[in-house]
Amino acid sequence: MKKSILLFGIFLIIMLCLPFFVSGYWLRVLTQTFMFAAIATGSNIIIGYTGYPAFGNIAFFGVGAYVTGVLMTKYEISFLATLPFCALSGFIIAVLLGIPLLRLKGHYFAIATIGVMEAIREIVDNMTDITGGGMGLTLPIMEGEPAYIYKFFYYTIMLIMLFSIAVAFIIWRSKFGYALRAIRIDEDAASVMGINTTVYKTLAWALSAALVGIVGGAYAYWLTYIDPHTAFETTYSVKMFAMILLGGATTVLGPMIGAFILELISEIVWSKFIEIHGMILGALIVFIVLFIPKGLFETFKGGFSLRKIIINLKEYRL
Amino acid sequence: MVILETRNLAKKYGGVEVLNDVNLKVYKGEILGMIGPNGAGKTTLMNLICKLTDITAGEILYKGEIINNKKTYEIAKMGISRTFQVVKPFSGLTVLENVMVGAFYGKKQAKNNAEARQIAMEALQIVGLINEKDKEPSILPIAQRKKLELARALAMDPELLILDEVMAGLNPRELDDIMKEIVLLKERGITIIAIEHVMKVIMGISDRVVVLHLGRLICEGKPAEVCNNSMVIEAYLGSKFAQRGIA
Repeated sequence: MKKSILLFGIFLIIMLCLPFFVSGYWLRVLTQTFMFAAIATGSNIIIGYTGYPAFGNIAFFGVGAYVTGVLMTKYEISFLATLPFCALSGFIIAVLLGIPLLRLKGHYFAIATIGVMEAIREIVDNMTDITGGGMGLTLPIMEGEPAYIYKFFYYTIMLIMLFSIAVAFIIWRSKFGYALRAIRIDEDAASVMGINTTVYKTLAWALSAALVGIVGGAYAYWLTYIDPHTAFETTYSVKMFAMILLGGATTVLGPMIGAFILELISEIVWSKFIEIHGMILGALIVFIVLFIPKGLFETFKGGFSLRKIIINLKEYRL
Repeated sequence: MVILETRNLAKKYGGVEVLNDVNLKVYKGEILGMIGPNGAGKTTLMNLICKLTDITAGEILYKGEIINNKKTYEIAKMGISRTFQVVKPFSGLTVLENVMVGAFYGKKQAKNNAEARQIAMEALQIVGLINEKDKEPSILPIAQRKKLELARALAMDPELLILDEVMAGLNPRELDDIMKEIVLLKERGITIIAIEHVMKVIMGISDRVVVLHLGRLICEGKPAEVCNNSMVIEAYLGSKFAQRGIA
């Protein structure tokens, strides 16, 4: 525990200094990585902690993006002031949907959340007056030098990522977190021990939706243009899931580590093998699921070794 | 004083009658043994008390209050805890953390980690799992996993503790060990319902024994009386043995 906090501290210092040494391209790549790390960490509260595979959690990312977009263009509210509204709208939607949907379990729940995402996308697509519909929404462009803007989003989204990690960390070690982790293993046993599973599950999803919503808001202002297909991007869901699995769903920092590894690999693969990068990424995801299903963080807690991979293979009867 | 009472309790799964007209009284401070052949409905009865399944007909009263409409977690907070026949440890949490969950959400309602930790340590001390506190429950042998179930239930500070075959699969030494612990719990003022197949245990610790057969209570009394009851012998061994009076 102490070791990972120390490593995290070193990592943080490096990340804080990095904008003064790297090019705009890498700044953009890292900003995107922070964004995914924030999405994965936030979503992991419902996916990893509580064991409900909210595959369509990107829905709240889209909602956040549109909340910021609409508030900034129609009501001329400043960017930072829109972020609480992103969180709030994610929270409220998740509570309303969670009450009926969290009765489902496993892949049924996963599919239901995809349905939610598609439905919200359709709604946004058809509310042309407010959201611009399929033509998209153009946000006000930030004033200033490009270098300043790059750094602004780098630090803002990094801060959002750190906020998500802090929330995830506090939950992990709290009374609430223990309830979620109990629910993940056995809901009956959890309720027999006095845990109001409906309330806790709903709250877990709502918090995760709020965190993902904030990321969406920042994304909209960063890109300055959103349409229903970029805001509710299905491949983001796949990526988010792969990151959580890669890093380790039952850990606090796992999703962030997964995001960094996957985003950086995907960036390298993308630039080196432009034609077959999708295939290589796909193969990587299959590899993760087969060989390190518990995620890097959990599997290699005590250090890296090939033996652990083999033990995993045996354990999962491959 | 009656702590738990069921009145004409019935449970049907579709057309299958699992429990019928069960009138059970549990007195405060006693150990009530519950026996019955496989499929008699013992676990179903306990699931009804904890509201893990819905009641078809009848009433359940806890301390004189009807608890039919209470939710599972509300019943737990009222002071009824249980263990499961098939142990259900929360993997991913250490032994200590498993027990802390009980301390957080049971009747005791620990406010913070330190308090929950303290309650959990006490419970682990009672069942003798203190040396295992930082281990993963999945690596524990079955006897210790059963003790973990017990510790988790204890950390909830129960008034009524339901033990669903907590002794199945244990060797004689482990049996003696856990039997002593159960009697110890009774001395602490906890009322206990023990579902059990091992007759030695039931005879050894129960103040009173009830027999469930095909969803009905067929007999009730002191352990020795129940053992020689012809209906009970018939339920377990068939009518031939009942006529001969062999127990």
